[in-house]
Amino acid sequence: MTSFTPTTNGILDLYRRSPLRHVQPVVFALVGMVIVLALVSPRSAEPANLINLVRQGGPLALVAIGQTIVMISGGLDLSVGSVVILADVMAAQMISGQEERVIPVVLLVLGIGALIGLANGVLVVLLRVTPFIATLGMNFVVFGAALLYSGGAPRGDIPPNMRFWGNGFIAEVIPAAAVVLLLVALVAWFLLSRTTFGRRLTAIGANRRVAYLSGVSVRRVTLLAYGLSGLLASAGGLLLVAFVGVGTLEVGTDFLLGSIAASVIGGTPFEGGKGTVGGTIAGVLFLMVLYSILTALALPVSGRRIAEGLIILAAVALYARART
Amino acid sequence: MRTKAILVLMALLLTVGMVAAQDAVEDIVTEYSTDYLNDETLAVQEGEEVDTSAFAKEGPYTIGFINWSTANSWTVQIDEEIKHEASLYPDIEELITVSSDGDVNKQITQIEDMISLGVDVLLVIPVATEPILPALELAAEQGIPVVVFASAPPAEDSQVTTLWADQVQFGRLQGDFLMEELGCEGNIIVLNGLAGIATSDLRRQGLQEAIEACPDGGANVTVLAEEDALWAYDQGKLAVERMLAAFPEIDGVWSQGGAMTQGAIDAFEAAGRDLVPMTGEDNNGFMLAWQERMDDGFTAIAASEPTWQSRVALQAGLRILQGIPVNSFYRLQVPTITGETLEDYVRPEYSDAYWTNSLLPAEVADEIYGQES
Repeated sequence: MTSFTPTTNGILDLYRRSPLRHVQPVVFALVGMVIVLALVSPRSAEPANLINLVRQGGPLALVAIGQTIVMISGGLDLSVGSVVILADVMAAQMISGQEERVIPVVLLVLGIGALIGLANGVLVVLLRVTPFIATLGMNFVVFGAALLYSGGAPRGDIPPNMRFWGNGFIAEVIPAAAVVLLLVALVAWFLLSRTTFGRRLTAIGANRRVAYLSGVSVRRVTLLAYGLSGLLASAGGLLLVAFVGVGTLEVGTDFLLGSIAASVIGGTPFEGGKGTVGGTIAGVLFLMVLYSILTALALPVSGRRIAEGLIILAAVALYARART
Repeated sequence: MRTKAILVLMALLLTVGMVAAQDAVEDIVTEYSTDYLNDETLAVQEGEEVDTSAFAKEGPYTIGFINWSTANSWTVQIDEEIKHEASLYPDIEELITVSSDGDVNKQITQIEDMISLGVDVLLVIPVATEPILPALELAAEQGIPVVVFASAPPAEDSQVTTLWADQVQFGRLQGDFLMEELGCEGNIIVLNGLAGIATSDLRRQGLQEAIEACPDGGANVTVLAEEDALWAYDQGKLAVERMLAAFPEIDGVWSQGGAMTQGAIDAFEAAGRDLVPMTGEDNNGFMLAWQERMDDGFTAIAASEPTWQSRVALQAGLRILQGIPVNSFYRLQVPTITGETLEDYVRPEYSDAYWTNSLLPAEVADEIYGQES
């Protein structure tokens, strides 16, 4: 505590020794972004609008949690974008506005998502295809299936009882989508931090060979990780279609890059071996706040792109420094 | 002698008449379909007349069509329209359709494939015009006539003809409506497709022209915010939600169209804000949302980039193959749908994915877009 100079390293050093070290860096980044938002556009930072960001980020957050699970194991799931679209068009077409069909269709679509995920897992684990290639190929197959299923012209709509979960508010303040997200997050958190599955997943990501030699069933755990990612991607698609109201192939949100960016910003490294559900959700919210800031600044499109890219890079870089 | 002369004359007239009559029925477009290409309400002839006699050949014909994508409802309907048009002609042996998935490299390969397949005429919606020029030239060298549509004409004349709806006019028509609604005064928000894509940039330019055409040069019009929402519902809605949070006073929404405008309507309603005048396109989803709210005073306009243009392009191709002259450029009309004409277009019994300014016959459209009720 002698001659402390406020350099970046100094601040990082201080941070590492303070009780704040248990707080994930992404949380600071998120708080910082909210403060920027409040300065740029006070209206946007009002509580009601901030809560709304949770709802806006809901579908992406579900997909990103699945991506995080796969990334912790050292893998990557590039098929999530197409799974979201397939879930979207299938749900709308099969439900076709009938309230009583919602529950069976939702279960069916989740099942299909899980099966796609498991198929990814089989490719990676049994056929030893690298995750990048396996899930990229699956991405094309699944998008083709969505086109085939819808004939390129998706039809059907979502009845009010399901739309509520994408659009509605409980007691007029809590977005229903935030409740869905919270429930999923709790289950995922429990799975990752309180079960042997979670420990084994981390072990595989940290060192596959050591995990194998210590008796971890690498195959089974990896398979399950991809299955969960597929399941959560289809859940994201269901939440999205509840938000949109009709089946559509024209989904503008980039779920693939968004889910990877949120995971990485939230502290899941590409190499795997660590990562948390809370971090990833904070990563998604970070992106949502960032988009709000860029909107409020009314930057020209070119400036927006550059700012978006630089800020995401900075967030990732900052995280990399903070944890070393 | 006189009777003989009269007889000869009569025989001559008869022959001329027969030849002329034969010429008239020889155009298979008028024989089997409705001539859209020469219908000024759909396509205005511009450019120069092109002599196509060098391309004349006997059927049956193989037609090659390269769609820039089939991943969205508009391009799917483009496909359906051309499929239907092709089915009308006994002279068409095969219509080969491929999609470039928005990938220009893929499109170049596909053009080369079409050449080696020996198609009689090639119809292309370019992903981008410049990069595919060498491939189009290759087709021209092989004597395959090329019809380019849904795109500005490529810089060089490797194509016989181009059909295009003026995208600046598209944005201008939408913009003029909005300026009139606002009396050239107020705050507007802008939803674009994707910067760098010609369609998006040119439509936006049309809005700028509309603003500058205000009596005061648009001095009292403020563009509060502007975002690329990819013509998609989810991005349109999210963008407008963010804009509503940031800006307390929004007087109008200029959206390029697609499902974005529908997203904008839903975002305004979710935020409990009164609807303001909005612009959109002729997709059924937006049109239905508009119709539902008309009685509450919601005003809007829809411009249309017609899906029937693939049929007109095919007709141009068939004319070229028959050696009938075509023009080097056809400017497709951009119809606008207003509150008064909305009812003629909107189709409550069809899904949101239907584009309402269509020439698909009811039985075909029912099959594709009819909703299970």
